[in-house]
Amino acid sequence: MNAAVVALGVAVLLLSVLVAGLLRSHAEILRALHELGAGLELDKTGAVPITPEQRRTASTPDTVVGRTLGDEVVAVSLLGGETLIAFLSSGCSTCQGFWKAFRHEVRDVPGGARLLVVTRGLDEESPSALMERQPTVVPLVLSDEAWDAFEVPGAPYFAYVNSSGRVIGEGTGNSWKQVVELMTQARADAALQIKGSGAVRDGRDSLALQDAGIEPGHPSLYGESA
Amino acid sequence: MRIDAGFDITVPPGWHVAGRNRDNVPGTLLVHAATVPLPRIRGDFGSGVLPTLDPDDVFVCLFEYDREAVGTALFQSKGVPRPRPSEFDPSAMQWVRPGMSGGQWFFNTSGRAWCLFAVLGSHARRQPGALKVGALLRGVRIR
Repeated sequence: MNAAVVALGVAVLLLSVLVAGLLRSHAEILRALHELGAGLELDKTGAVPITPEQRRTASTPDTVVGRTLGDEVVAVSLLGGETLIAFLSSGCSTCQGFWKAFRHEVRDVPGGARLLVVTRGLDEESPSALMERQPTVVPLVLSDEAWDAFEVPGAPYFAYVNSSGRVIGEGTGNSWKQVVELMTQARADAALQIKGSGAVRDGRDSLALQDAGIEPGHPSLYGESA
Repeated sequence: MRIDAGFDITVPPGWHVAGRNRDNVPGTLLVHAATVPLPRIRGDFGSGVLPTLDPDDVFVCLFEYDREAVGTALFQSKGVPRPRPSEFDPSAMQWVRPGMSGGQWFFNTSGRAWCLFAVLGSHARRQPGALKVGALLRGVRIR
C-alpha cells in the first residue's frame, strides 16, 4: 500500500514537472511570436496609427518613381497637392478588401487627396495577380524604392503626404473605412499641432499654411523674413 | 527621372509622368505628362486623360517619330518648343472638347523627330496653362 502511494506521488510529481515545462516553453513561444509582430489581429484592434515621430528618416521622396504593369516608366509628384499612398501587395489577405475598394474611382479620400497605390516591383510581385487586381482609375506604381524610402513595414500600409511632401499620417487598418477615419484624424491632428503653436487661427488656416511648407517655428509666422 | 538612355525629365510639383517605347521598339518613345493622374488605359494622344482635365489642368504628349523623319520639312524646327498662350487653339484638338484648347508642334533635337501635343483644360485660362506646360518642358532633356 505504502509503495503504491509513493509510486503515485512520484508519478504526480513527474507529471507536474512535465506540465510546468510545457507551460514555460509555450510562454517562450508566445513571447517570441509577439516580438516578431505576429498576433496583430486587425479585426480586433482596428486601425493602427504609427506617428511620424517614429520614422527613422527625417524626409521622404518628393516623387514616387517606378513602373506600371504596362512596363512604362512612371513618376508621380507628391508636391503641390495632398496624396494618400496605399502600399499594397497582391498576396496579403487584408489587402484584398482594399484592391476591391480601389477598383473604381474613390471619392471619399480624406481631404480630397489623390490616391496612389504602390506595390513592390515584379521581383516580389505576381504580374498576373496584380493584373487581376489593378484599379482602372487609381494609379498603380510598382516601386521598391518607394517602399524602402517610406520604410513600409508590410502591407497594407498607408501614408498621407501633404502638399509640401511631409508625411502627416501613416498606419494601417483592415478596411477602407478605418483608413479613412485614421487619416481624417491624422489631418486634424496635424492642424492642431500648428494651432498649438499659437501661430494661426483655425484648422483650415493651419492646413493651408502647412501645405505651403510653413510649419511651427517658421520665421514668416513671426514677422521675420523667411 | 530617366525614361530611356536619351530622355530625362524633371517632374514638376503636382505632375504625373509616364513613358515607354511604343510596341517596345527602341527609338519610338511616347511620353505622357499631366496634372491629373494618368489612367491605365489611354490613347497615344491623350484619349482617356482629356475628359478628366479640370480648367486648371494640362496634358502633354511627346511622341517620337522614326529618325528618318528628322530631315523632313515637318520636323525642321530645332529644339523643344516653348508654347506661347496665343498658340493654343480650341480647334487644334483632335476631337474638339468644349472649353479646352490644344496645340501641336513638330520639332527635332539630337537627331530625333518629335511631335509635342499639349492640351489645356480651359482656353480661357490659357495663360497659366501655357506656363504649366512650359514648366514641364523646361525640365525635358533629350540626347
